[in-house]
Amino acid sequence: MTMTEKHCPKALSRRSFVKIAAAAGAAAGLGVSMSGSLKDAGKAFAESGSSIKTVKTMCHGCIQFCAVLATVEDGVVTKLQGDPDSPLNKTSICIKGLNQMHTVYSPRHILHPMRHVERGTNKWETISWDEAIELAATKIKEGVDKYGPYSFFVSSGGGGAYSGFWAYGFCEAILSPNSFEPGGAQCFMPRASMAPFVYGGRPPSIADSFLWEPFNTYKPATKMIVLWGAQPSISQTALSGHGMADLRVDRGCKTIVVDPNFTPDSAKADVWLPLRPGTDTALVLCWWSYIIEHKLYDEDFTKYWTNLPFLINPDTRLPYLAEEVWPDYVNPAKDPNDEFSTPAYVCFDKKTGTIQPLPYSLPEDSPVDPEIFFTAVVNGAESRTAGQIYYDEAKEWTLEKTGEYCWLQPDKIEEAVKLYAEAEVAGIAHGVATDQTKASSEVPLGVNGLDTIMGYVDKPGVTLTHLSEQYKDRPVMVGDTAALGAWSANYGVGYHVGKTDNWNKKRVEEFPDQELLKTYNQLQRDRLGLVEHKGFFWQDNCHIPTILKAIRTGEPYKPRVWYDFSGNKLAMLGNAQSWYDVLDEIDFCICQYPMITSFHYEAADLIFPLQEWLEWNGTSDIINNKFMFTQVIHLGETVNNGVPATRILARYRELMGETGPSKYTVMPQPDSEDGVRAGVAKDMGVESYEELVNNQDKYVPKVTPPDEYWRYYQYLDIVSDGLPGGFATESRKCEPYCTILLKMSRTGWPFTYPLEMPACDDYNPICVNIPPNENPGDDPEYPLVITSGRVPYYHHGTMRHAPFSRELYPAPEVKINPRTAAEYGIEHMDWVKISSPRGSISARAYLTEGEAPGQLWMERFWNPEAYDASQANPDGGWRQCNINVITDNYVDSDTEKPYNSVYGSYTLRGFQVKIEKGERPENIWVEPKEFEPFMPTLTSEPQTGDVF
Amino acid sequence: MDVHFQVNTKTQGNKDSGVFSTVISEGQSSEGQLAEEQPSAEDRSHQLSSDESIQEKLSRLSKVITKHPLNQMVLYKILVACKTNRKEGELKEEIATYPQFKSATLDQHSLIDQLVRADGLSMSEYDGNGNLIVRGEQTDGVLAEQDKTPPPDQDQEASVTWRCYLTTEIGLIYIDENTPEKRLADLLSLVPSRNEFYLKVLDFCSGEKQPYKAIEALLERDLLALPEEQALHIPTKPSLFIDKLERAGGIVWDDGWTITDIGRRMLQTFKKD
Repeated sequence: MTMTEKHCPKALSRRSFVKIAAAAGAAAGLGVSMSGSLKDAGKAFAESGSSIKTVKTMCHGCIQFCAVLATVEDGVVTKLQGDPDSPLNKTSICIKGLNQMHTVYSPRHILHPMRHVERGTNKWETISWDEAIELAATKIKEGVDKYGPYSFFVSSGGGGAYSGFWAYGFCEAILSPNSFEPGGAQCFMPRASMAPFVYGGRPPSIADSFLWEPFNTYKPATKMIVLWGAQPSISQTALSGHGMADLRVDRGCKTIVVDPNFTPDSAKADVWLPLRPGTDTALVLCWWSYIIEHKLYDEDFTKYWTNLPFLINPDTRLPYLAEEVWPDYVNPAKDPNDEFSTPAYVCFDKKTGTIQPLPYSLPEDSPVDPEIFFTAVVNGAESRTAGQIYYDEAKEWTLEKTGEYCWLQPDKIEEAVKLYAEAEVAGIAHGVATDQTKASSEVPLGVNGLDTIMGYVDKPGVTLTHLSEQYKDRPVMVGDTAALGAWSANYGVGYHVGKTDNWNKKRVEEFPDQELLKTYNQLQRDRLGLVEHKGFFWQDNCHIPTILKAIRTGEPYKPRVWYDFSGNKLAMLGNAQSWYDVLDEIDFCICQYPMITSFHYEAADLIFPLQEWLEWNGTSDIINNKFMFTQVIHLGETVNNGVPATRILARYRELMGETGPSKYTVMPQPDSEDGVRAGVAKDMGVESYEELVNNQDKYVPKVTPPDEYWRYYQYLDIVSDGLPGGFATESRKCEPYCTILLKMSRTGWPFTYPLEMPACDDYNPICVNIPPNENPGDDPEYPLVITSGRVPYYHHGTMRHAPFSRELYPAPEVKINPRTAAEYGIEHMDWVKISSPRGSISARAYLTEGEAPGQLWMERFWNPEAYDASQANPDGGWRQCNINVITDNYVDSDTEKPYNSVYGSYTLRGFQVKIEKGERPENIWVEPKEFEPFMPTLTSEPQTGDVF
Repeated sequence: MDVHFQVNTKTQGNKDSGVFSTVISEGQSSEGQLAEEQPSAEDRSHQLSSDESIQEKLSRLSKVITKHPLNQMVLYKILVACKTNRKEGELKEEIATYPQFKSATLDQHSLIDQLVRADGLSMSEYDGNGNLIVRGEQTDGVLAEQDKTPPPDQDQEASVTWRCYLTTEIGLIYIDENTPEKRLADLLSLVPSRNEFYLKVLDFCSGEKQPYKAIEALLERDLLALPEEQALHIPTKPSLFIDKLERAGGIVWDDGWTITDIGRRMLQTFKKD
């Protein structure tokens, strides 16, 4: 018996379903229910008894995944609750998870492939899967035939169905260089990639499932944690949010919250620093300055395990190598096999009072006592240590100056930095906020660096931890560990940091498929915006404003056939109007998603129906526990999110006269639900999926023994060369002075090796102050600063069709300080109009002392009902309340573009606006009764078998 | 640089200079076939200038035509085809012959209907005796708003034997403002350093139909000499020239890139010069 048969007694094959649907006249469009609403079942049914079962599965409501128990009565899911086997969410789930009961059975859950009869209308036509795949493959082929493969591009992200691996892989299979996702540079990549650059390990992002150490109950050690621009209580309520609550309550963990917004995490913090939006770099530098000034750093760790004592060549901005100063120097750490690289640098030795080589060794074996903060003459040039360079940059940021600049009380800053620096062990966990400013690289660089000089690295209780296998050799940073880009290693591209030049050269020369390597290098070279923003190589993405401009202008080529893998791009992308404006440049837009959004209304030509998470198979980890997503129900012809891509690609290759899998892609290959199930079983270590789901209590979760999972102090373990393992960086030490960024800006190293990209301006190797792009007082017409974030009811652009959540939070609220509101005659729950030079939107005023005077806060996304067929005047619905109508991507800026140098991030938080009293916009619902069209109607849909 | 029709209220402000133009050029059809003599757009604008809604109607028509790139040229060609009254069946047959129709997202009926709804075409219905069926008030050959979607009058519907379509005054202005001859001339005046490449592509496509890869091979090495290469950092791709020539009406895809009549005439002019 298959899983579907077991749980869905009325299971239908695809063929029989289509037959029934046709007989019922089920050709449908949005707003046309394919089933009846909830009905009175009658006495006979009530007396017939029910089949009730509980299935272990996981929630996919946000970027973290909670373990969940789903109660199924006669094939209908009637209850969701947290799985007590979960070490983190335990028995709880949040409102986002509970929304699934409404979204999976929502009349907006699309169940069949839909051809859009006409963009900008609600006219849809249900077509067969075969027709849909043929249409998509044909349109991609038409573009490639006429304009070459660069006519094609993909996007992903946006919540609901994360499909990045398929998106990037599909793009490369077509031999196109351009994929993007709204969250790449704006909500993931900076915080996730900077830690690997700084110390070669896992990022300390609490917004993702990277950071588990604080929630280690096996050997709990975290005593102090800083949430910098993160609000787990709202964004990851039942997992990291729950974990933080347990930390505070059960273990007395101290917390500092750096956030302009008064969140539940702010409310519970020992110190809350409500800084002015976008001024994080100044506060980071203030902490650096205070810690150095007051000698609060871990001197031994900083001296021997960071690169701050290295003397820096003022011309190259890179550390001197010992051989540059003493040509005959023999590096004792040199690998006789010329495989691993462990350079010796140059320092000022406190013992001898001279500059000396600084070879790599255990601290106790070091021949020198390096000064961290010093200026010396090297090869005739006055040269500072990396530590001195940092201190010189930071020291102007006194408590007073920082307080004034960041709108903070100096004594509160001091209280916070002392709490952090004087803790026995602590760590900084950052979130989304700083990714959404042009300082997106500098903030994580600065806070990761703080943890390194405090020695809060690779030990119990910190946030910079490895969780990796025990080292045997000197650790190396390579692509196939995802530290240096998603795919590059599969193409032979990329420098293995920690290996020698000769080894890398030989590896490239001996790579078996040189054509593959050169093709991939060419795609990297031609990717849009990557000369300037080479950090994108980490995620194989292109720069969003640059691809937008290419679509608009055709320069240097025109991307024109679009495959969007998930989300609502008009809700997610900055300056939404600028994207709307180029839709008429898009030849064909293929989409896949579980529901139709305002983006699909405006842009899609074709939509493939994806499974909601109660229909989905997969796996995910919660700390050292692997859980499974179980297909609890299945409606219509929905599929796993990887299936359309694999099917379309196969058909495309047939049309192109090619057979078999493409060598240019490493896209995951399952093209059927059975293939997905087999992958789940393999991942869970069980022979078959059937065995797994029939014995979930036995197999779920799959637990890695804690003593294997939790590993610390690996940098001290002696490895194959007789030296301590160290870190997976070029110097083998933590690099708060981040040399990889300098080299990256100049050649694309290590991502594009052996290709050298054209140079751009040097990226900052340390945190420097990056002021907000717009500041109070810059333009008197826009006197207020606005920032944004998530609310607990929804994730990204999803769930706006969950009626109970909408009843609780029907429309976006803009938080305003009562004094500011009074200046504008605005009262609580008034509708207000918020305007920037880009446009105007509406929101309801929420008056609170939790916002500073002169500052506004609003929800990040809005994806309303305005295109609903039940409305008299439907429109796209993305303009009325969407904060991205008033954000900017600077695509039209004539002056220097205010993007982050490394990642090209633009400003989504901390920009200037004005407000005035306004009116409720047309088409925006607020009354409970108005949400009736969203009430679940698909509970009586027949359970169906696999499409493929 | 883009290929938008000039009157496009949605995007006009954000676009770079366009290949399409408002400067009026007469006597050209959509892809260079000589058309019958028509009053100039200037004359038409003058004739209609008392009507304040003309610009709005023109904007609405433009928005419909430019809404989907795969339909854009087909819609323009339908307007040109209907400069004289065309029977529906005959018109549909002609549309089916357009190379661009192979990629269009709508069928002939829907394309025609879009133009009728946007006041680019007027529709006339005739009974079996050839008598015009009048459903409501008609002014200057344009259907009244309430009559664009015929009422469900079964008797009247049954009496309709054929329909005819004629380009409206608005449609004629639109045609004149966007002739391919003007678009192509504008394209060649925008970045003179690129003309060598445009002409090379036109010349290359003047014989056999050419696949993209052949044009890519033709241009790729020479493109490195372009001055903007250095500024852009990313190598310009041959598709840039193909795209702009296509939208200007100089070449058309018909299972391979081939020159249009107007493209050929432009090429000959440049060769003479």
